[in-house]
Formats: sequence, C-alpha cells, structure tokens
Amino acid sequence: MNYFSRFLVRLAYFIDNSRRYNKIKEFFRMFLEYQHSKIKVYFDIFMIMLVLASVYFLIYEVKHGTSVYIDTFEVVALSIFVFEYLSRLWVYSDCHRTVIELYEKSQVEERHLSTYLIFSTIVKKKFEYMTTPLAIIDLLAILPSYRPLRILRIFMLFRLFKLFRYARSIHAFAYVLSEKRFELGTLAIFVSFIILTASSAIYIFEANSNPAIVSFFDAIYWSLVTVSTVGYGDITPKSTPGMVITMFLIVLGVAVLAFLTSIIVSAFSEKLSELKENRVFAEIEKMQDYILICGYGRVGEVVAKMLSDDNERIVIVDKSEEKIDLVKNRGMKGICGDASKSILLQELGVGENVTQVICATDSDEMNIFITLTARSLNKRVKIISRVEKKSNKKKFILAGADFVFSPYEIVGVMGAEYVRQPMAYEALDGMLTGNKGVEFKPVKVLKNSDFVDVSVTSLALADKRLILFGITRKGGENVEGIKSYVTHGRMFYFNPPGDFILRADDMLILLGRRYHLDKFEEVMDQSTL
Amino acid sequence: MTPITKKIILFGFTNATLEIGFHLREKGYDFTIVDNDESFMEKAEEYGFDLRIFDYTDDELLEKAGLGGEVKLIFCLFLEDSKNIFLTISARALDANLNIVAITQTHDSIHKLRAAGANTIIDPYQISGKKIYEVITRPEVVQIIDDTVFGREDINIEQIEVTKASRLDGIFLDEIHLADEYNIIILGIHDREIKERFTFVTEGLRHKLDEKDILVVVGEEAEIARFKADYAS
Repeated sequence: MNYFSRFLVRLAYFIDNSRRYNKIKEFFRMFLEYQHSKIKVYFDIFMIMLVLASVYFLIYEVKHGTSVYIDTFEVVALSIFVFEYLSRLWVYSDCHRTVIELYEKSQVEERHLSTYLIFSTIVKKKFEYMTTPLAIIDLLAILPSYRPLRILRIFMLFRLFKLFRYARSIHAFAYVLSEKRFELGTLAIFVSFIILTASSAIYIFEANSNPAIVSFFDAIYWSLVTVSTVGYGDITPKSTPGMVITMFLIVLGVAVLAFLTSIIVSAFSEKLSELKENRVFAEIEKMQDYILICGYGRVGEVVAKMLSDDNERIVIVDKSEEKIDLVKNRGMKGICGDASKSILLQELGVGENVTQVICATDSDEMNIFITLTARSLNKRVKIISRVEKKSNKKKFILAGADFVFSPYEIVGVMGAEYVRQPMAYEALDGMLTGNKGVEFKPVKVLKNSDFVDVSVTSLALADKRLILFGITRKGGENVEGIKSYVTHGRMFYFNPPGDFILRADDMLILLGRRYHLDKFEEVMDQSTL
Repeated sequence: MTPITKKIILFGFTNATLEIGFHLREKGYDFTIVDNDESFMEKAEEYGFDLRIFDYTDDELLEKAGLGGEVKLIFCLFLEDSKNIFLTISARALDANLNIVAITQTHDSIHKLRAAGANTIIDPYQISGKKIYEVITRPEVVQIIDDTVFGREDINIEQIEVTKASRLDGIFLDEIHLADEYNIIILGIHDREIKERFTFVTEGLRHKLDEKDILVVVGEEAEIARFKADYAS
C-alpha cells in the first residue's frame, strides 16, 4: 500500500468518525431519499414548480424572445438542477465506506490495496447511479443549457420527465405496465410487423402512381395513421390493391387497439388491490412507534379495540381478506398477508418503526415463526405471543418472545378458582377482564409533588374510592412486618401499612374505577406545579 | 350406565378441560370428564382422568349420568359455541339449581349462553386480549398480578363467609380496620340480599355485613387464616 492509498484510508476513517459529516449527509438524504420524511414532500413540490416554470419560460421564449429576467431565472433553475444532480450523486453511496470496506477486505485477505482499485471501485459505484434512467433524465435536463449544445434545446423538455421523480403515482403506473411487458412486447412486435408489411405493400403498389407517396417514410406514416384508426386522410390509396390493403389495415387496427386497451385495463384491475395496499403501506411507512398485531381472531380483536380506544397507533396483519375488510371498516389500518414472511415484516418496519409485536394467531407454529422473524429483524422490539399448548411455552422464550401466555392456562386457574370459591372468582374475573369497570393502574409518585414524604394514611385512598394493592420502590429494602419481594429490579410491598412513608419515584399499584384513578393521577400532576 | 357420583362434570375433552382438570386435581377435587368421541380415551388414561364416553345431546343419558341428582356443577368446555349452548339448555332443563359454567369462543355467544341458563361464562379470549393490553400499557401490574394472585408468591384471593356466630355480623364494612391489624385487603363483597353479583368496595357502598354475605379478601395465607380465626368463626 503506497503513501497515497494509506492517506485515503485514513481520510475515510476520519470521515466515518466525523459526526458533522454524517449529520450533513443524513440531512441531504432527508430531502432526497427518505420516502417518509416530511421535508421531502415540500422539496418535491418545490422541484415540480421549478420544472413547470422553466418549461413555461421555454415555451414563452419561442414567440416573445428572451429577457434578462428569464435568463436569470434559467441560471438559478439550472444551478438548482445541477446542485440536485450532484447531491444525488453524492448521497447515492458513501465513498468513505467503500474505501473502508476495501481496506478491511484487503487486510483480511492480506492483499495489496492499490490506489487504482480504490478509485475504480468508487467510480464504478457512482457510474452505477449515473446510468439509472432517472439520473439520465436529470442529466439530459441540464445539458441543453450549455451554449455549444443549444441545438439540444428540445431536450429541455426532459425536465418534464423529471416530474417522474417527484410523483409517486407515476411510479405505480410504470410498475403496473411493466408487469404486462410480455403482452405489450408481443403486441408491439405484431404491430410493427403489420405496419412494415402494409407500408411495403402500399409503396410497391402506389409509389409510382400516387403523388402523395414519395418516399418509404410516407408509406410508414400512412400505415401508422391508418392502423391507429386516426386516418387524417392526407394520404389516401388511389388503386384497388391499395384500397384492399387499407381495409385489412383498418380491421387489424381496431383489433390491435381493443387488445391494447384490454391489456392495460386488466393490468390495472389485477393490481388494484395491490395498489390500494401500497397506499396503506405508504401510510404505515410514515408511522413511528406503532404496535403490530398479527392475527385478527378474538384475541387480536380485543387487543386492537382496547389499544385503539386508547389512541395507540396499531397495524393489523391477517391472512384473511374478510378480516382485513372488517379491520378497515372499523377505522384501523390492516394489511392482508402472511406475517410469518420476513419480507412483509421488514416492509412493515419491524426493524425500526415497530415498538411491539403481538402474535395472536391461533396456531403455535405460526406464532413461533412470527416471533423468530421479528426477533431476527429487531433485537429490541417487545414481542408478546399467545400459545395454545402450554408445553410450547419454553420454545417461545427460546425464539425470543418477551411475554408468552396461554388463554387456556388462565381458564384452568379460573375454572378451578370457581369451584373452590365462586365469589373470589368473580373478583378475579372482574380484575382480569375489566368487565366490572374496576382495573389496576400504576401511579408514580412524582418528585416535588405533595405526595412525597407523606404516609399512606394521609392519602385517604378509601375516600377517593381506591384500593392500594401495593407499592414498588427502586432499591427498596425488606421492612419488618410487610410482605415484600423483588420484581423487575424493584421491591414490591404488598398492602403497606398506614404509617408507610412514600418517596419520590415510588409506584403505587391502585385498584379502582378508571374515573377515580385518572382523577387521583390528575391531583398528583397538579400538586407538582 | 352407572351414574356419576362426583359433584363436578367437565363436558368436552379440550385444552381448557385439561387445564381446569390439572388445577382441580391439584386442589384435591374429584371430577368426571364427558365427551362423545372415543378417540380421546387413550389420552385421558395417559393423564389419569376419568373420562366417560356417551352422547351428551341425549337428555335421558344425561339424566342417567346424574344430572338433576348428585351433580352440582358442570363446565361446558367445547370449542363450538353451539354445543355449549345446547348442553347448557339441556342441563338447565334437567336441574334448575345446577351451577353451569360455560366457555365461549365469540363475543356474540355470551348473552346466548346467559339466556340458555349459564351461571358464569368464561371468555378466555377477552381475558387474553385484556392481558396483552395490560402487558403493553402497564407491564408492572401484569407482573405483580402474575406473581401474587396466580403464583409463586404467597398471596391469595379468598372468600370468607359471614356466619351468624362471627364478629363480622352486623358491623359496617368501613369499621373493620384491617390494615393495622392484619396484612390483608378487602376487595369486595357479595351481598345475597341486595345484589346477585360481586361488588368491589371501590363502588363506595356503605354496607352493613349480614349473615351469608361473602367477603373477598387478598393477602398472605397465614394472615387470612388469622383473620378468619379472629373474626369469622
């Protein structure tokens, strides 16, 4: 490795470590690449305006001639286009990462790293971008402004094609058509064949007798006008064979048009649901920190309802289209698909945007698969899974689930409880289902609130219609006479006595009606002011 | 057919049946399972459960089996709501005082089961859904309930019946100052005179305890026993 490449590698590491550089690049990416960034939307609208304005002036110039203002505008627009082109080229790939990767590879393989290899790899990467259709359009939109190339002014219209970049729906259109490229290709070959045959025939029959057909180009022009059923009538056949050819051509033309229309229509109707789904995907892409529910059976339904009542952001995935329709009717976001497919989970943003994944399908195999997939995509996401067979519980923990529970296990406990003491069962059922309107809620003792350093008695919880089930305290110690144990790194005191003194950051586990619980929390919040 | 002499019958050989069966056996209750599918026999023997195979849709067979006689409590645990509803109706017709607990798969069936005559309906999916919701919104609470009520830690929910002889008879609920004397919490009360169902104390009723009222408390087993010894007997 010579001195220069060593310098390049060092520079690459320096850039890689520079927070400022990465921040700036990230900022540009927000403008140019990230589909869900808000700034990109404004940037796209601005660029569309700029393109339209520059094309408008181009047309205006034709009759009215140029002026200083138009020239100035042209320069400004052009510099923005050039700047955009260069920025896109810049953010497309990270040169310093390329250098670092090359260096690391050469270290592992103990090979010499030449300056030539570094530059050629970088140029290759950048060239890769420059040859993409959109980049070529960008370039063609800039080039004609260069004086010696004025002749290419017509390419200024390419700026209109730039609009492709900023409008998503055009992508969808192109995508749908590209799905039918085989049919469209076949049709194109068929049409070219007809045109070629018809124009040759008319040329042979009428080139000498018909004054309108001078060259073979006229013949092609005529056949295209005829086959498309446009029929200007500027060139018409004069001989009987010419007329026969025309008749055939017209019939074929109608057939071709019908065929073309049906291809496009069927392409769209086939893709309609997918396009709709894409729109949902686009919406989901914009969502941050949402909860993904896989399976909209009874369990999924209950969870989804409770969470959406709380205004939590949720997305539901289910295999059955019927259920997804139901989800949509209820005003929630749903995707029809197989949640065990890692591609789907990836597209849904399990890697970054999802905070929790709930596996609520009725099959253990499916749930464990989703658990594994989600865990492999994201180490930190919280995974909650339902298990049918209790014996499978261990497997779920191994697969990476944070919380596993089985509906039937709860049924077992409760059924036995009912036999033993039916009233205790009622209390338990009330607490677990919330059907009686009474629920548990943890309330934190806030710093600087009136609730710090006071006793449990002075909270007068009974008057507030609340039951204090217990208190958790960080770093708490065992106290004589109070039932306590450690849970999640906090000491839990069950039913602390009246003279128990509260501290800041203690968590009160209260039982009561939601209204009373919320009111208590409100008083707590207000007292900190 | 020999009549079932046990007080509890579990209808349907399902996952829920197994779970309830294990818990009942652990707590020392005797019970019989009934299904009409013979293929479950092997599995039942493996687990050591007493499984009888007969057509439970036949009222005569049900009666012969002991409904309307010795049996005091039945569980309808089939996976199909329709079966549970049918069985509930048949059983209720045979015995007006029978205690019927039914499991439900869908929300719609809850009121149908109630109309059919079930005393209690267990909705496993409602409970599961609520539980997931709690895990997401208040994980600390779930942990604590799992630790205490369901499990490892020695804290239980228990019901205490007020008898004529007990000191509880005739006093107001808010006059018992438990917190200072016993480490238990009173969750609520079941008053046979006023209401059929259980009421939490947070509903704020000023209630005078009478004979046959039932208190539901939560606390350490030893503390509850001490309380029972002091008050209830």
